[in-house]
Amino acid sequence: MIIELGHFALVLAFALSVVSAIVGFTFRGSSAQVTLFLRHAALLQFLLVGAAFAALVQAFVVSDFSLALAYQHSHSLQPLLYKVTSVWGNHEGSMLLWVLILVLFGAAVAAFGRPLPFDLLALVLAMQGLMVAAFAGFTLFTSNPFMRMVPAPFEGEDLNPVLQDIGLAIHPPLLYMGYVGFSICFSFAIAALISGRIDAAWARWVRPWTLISWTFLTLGIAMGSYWAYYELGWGGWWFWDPVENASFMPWLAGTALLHSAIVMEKRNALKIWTVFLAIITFSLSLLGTFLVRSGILTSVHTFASDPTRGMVILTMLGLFIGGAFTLFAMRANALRAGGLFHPLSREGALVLNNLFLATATGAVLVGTLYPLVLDALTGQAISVGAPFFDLTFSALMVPLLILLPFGPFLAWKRGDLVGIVQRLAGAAALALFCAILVAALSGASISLAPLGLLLGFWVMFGAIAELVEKARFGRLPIGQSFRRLFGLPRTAYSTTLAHFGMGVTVIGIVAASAWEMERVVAMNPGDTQTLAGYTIGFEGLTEEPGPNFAAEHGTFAITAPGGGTRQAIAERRVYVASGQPTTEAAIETYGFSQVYIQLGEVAANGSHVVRLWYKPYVTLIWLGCVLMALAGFISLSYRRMRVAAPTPSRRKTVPAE
Amino acid sequence: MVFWTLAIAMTVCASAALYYASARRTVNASSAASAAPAMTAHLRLQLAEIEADLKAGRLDEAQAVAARAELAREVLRVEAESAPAVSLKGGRSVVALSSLGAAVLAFAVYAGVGQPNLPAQPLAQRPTLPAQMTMDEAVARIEAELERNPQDVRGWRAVAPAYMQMGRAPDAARAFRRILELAPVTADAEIDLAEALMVAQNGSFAGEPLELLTSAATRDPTNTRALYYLAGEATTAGRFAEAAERWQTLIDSAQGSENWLPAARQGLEAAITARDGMGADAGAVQQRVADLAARLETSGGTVAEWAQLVRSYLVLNDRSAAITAYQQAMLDHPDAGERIELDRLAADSGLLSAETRP
Repeated sequence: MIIELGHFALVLAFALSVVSAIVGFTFRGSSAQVTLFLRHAALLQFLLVGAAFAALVQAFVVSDFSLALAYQHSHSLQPLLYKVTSVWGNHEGSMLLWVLILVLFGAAVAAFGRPLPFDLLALVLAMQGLMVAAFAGFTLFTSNPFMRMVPAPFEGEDLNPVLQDIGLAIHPPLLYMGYVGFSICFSFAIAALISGRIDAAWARWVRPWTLISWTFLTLGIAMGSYWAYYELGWGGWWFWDPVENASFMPWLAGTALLHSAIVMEKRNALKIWTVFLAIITFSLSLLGTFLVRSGILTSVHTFASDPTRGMVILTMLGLFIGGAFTLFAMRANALRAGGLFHPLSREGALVLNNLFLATATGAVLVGTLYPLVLDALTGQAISVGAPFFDLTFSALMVPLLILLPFGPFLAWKRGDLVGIVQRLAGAAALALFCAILVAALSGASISLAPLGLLLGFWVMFGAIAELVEKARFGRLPIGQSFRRLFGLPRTAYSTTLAHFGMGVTVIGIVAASAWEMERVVAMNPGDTQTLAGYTIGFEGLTEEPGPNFAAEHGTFAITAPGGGTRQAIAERRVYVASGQPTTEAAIETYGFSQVYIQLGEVAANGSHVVRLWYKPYVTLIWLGCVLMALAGFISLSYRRMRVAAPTPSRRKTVPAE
Repeated sequence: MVFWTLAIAMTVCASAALYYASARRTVNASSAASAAPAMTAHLRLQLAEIEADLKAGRLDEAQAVAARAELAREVLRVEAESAPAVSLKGGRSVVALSSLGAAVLAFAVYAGVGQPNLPAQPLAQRPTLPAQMTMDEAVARIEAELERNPQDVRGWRAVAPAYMQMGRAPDAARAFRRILELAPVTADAEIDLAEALMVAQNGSFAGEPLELLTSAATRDPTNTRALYYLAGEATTAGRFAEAAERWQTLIDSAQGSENWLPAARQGLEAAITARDGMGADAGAVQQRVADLAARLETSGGTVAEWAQLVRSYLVLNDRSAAITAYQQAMLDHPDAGERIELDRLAADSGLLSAETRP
């Protein structure tokens, strides 16, 4: 009965969202009571979908196989954690998780939105209601997680072994928080277009939602990348897989949105562009979640799809995205353009940042969709792989990263480039020194790697230089400088930290790509190999039964160049219910570098194919992302409203009062 | 009944909460009719920040004056365009109707999709399986059931594999044929029948089984079982060129860990050896290999092509060339995930002892 009550709760939430959308758009400006109704309806939707989700989790936990979804995707022998995560390790359950997060954000707007003008709030909540209605409706009518089975089977078919990992507990919820959070920005953008009103207060409301979504999306993508790295078994951390691209595009667009929202909040400029970006970002989020479920793309992330479901998804995407752009085209002229600024100013730098990020988004979009379009039109199958993305994407990112440290130094409205170059010279020299030092220590031959390192260090030190400059170190007495440093607003620290994190990630990417070492060998117990100074001995094989799988453990002893031996266990598993094999790599971290061992197939003579990697500084890739996300949280915790003072022009300013 | 009581209670609570929370008479400060108050409040906040920054020395006097001037212009603009107040009538009836509408819609939809009478069946509370019934007894029970209702596809689906397991191939063939008649035809269903017929014919695919397999392969060109059987059939029938092609397609479709892979590899090798031994003399074979090597060296190729080159060198007994080819392949495909097939070949033929990353 609990399952059916959960089912009913979902239906009730759907009904509330339908009514909310209708009432909200029809009576939006006419009554404060309608807005109150919409707010409470949003809160109730969250409670109801939460109850539905809890009912589903409960059915998985007690292995109630009269629930078809539990039968198809779980097993009674799974550990409790994986029984819970199995709920969203499939299409239907993950749709419900998506809807749950959507109503969570809707409820958050309803709860925190009291100070908003009520007609604006009504429009935002009506738009959220429309989305909940569409996606909860899609869930209920085409992918219902509450389908039952009569008679109930006695054992489930188990979850895909690759997904039976802690990563499934973390990656999808974080990613969905990011994707869905942008729906709020989208709703605000639509509300601004319909009401024809947009001002700095609007930007003030949009920025925290952008920040939250961007932060979670950053964490979600980084976690997904690390999960792929350790689970898929060959230590790749980014594959330009269509679905990865699909999550990366909203990130790029969201990063642009984050920066343009700053300009809008502080300087009341770039308004129409910000609205446009908000629409683009959420459209790309929708594309990210749903393109993969439409059956058009295939990848690691593809769930079983059927054609009708695909058509419904495409129609919905078309309506939301197409509708938003049509509205934009019709109404953008009605919005008042914002303040003016000199091209060489903080605003100008942020426009440049937006330009590069938007172009990079476009490049990734083309690379992802072009093969599909070509296939659909001409039937010719081509694959656009890593070389295309590496080339086009880095061609766009390198200039962006070179310019990055200049941005925060420029003053609002008009800036002074010569002065900034002087002030950044120190950071540049330090970056050059570090790049040469690290390249020399690594003993690398002539390649592009040192230039990549230079870029990474330049971004890192440029970020720190900004703090040094703001505190006026060297120009004020040291004690006073420190007082200035601690007096800086938290947003200054978060800017520095985020840019610093970007540099860290760049260094990780460069080092891991340029200096990775790999060896494939056939090993018998007792054999020893050396790789990059590490001695890796294969000690033996043991059979270890797991809860719902049988595993073969290969024990390895890794001796570091500096001495000290560690034991590492690489596994091969075969899952009972599905008979599917997986490998679990042995990963040992030394400083920022990792030794990665994968126990492969048994060769004809009984030895094992073992793949060994040495990945220098690879953890910096994710560490940098964590720093960026941390910066997001710091900035979120700072809710004061600081005005960016313009630099007055040389002629005497006349006070307006 | 309990379910409906709870569902109605849930709906009534939700609707009542919505109505009473929304239809209150109080119109608090947040419900101002236009954007102006919120906007001026926002601007006032900004003004306070400017003063604070000025006091803390983050702004100098000139900057503060400029910032204040900008704010003042914004205040004037907002005041000029503030919207006229809007009527607040009619809200209560809209709220009441909406609350009611949501409840009605919920029951209508749930009546369509729900299964309210189905109880929960958590595993721990379910009766255990009917005590260890033997296969014969189980089959006998299903047969009796099918006697009464021969249209029951599920029964046939249950009994057919059991027949196969018990070695009753003709019975299995009868059951699989029945499934084909009753259910929509799928490649797998055709292969099942072909398999049963083949066993019944003592391992020969001649006649109907071959037709079924060909039909299955056209129906689903990626079906590994169809590919496997067709490749095996071509090998035994002596059509080695076709067999080699089919084995290669099959191996290319593999993930790397399937249990039929070793057999498929042996099949491919046997087919290639037989094909090349029959048709051409050794010189022509060497020429073909050299052509392939030249092409792969200049413009690269797929993992399967590289594997073919390495395999050819091994067949020609040229170990050092095989090792060189393997090393070139690793440069062409640095991603070990793609290379599983090739690495496996290298391991099996002992090429891995060499330094692998040149």
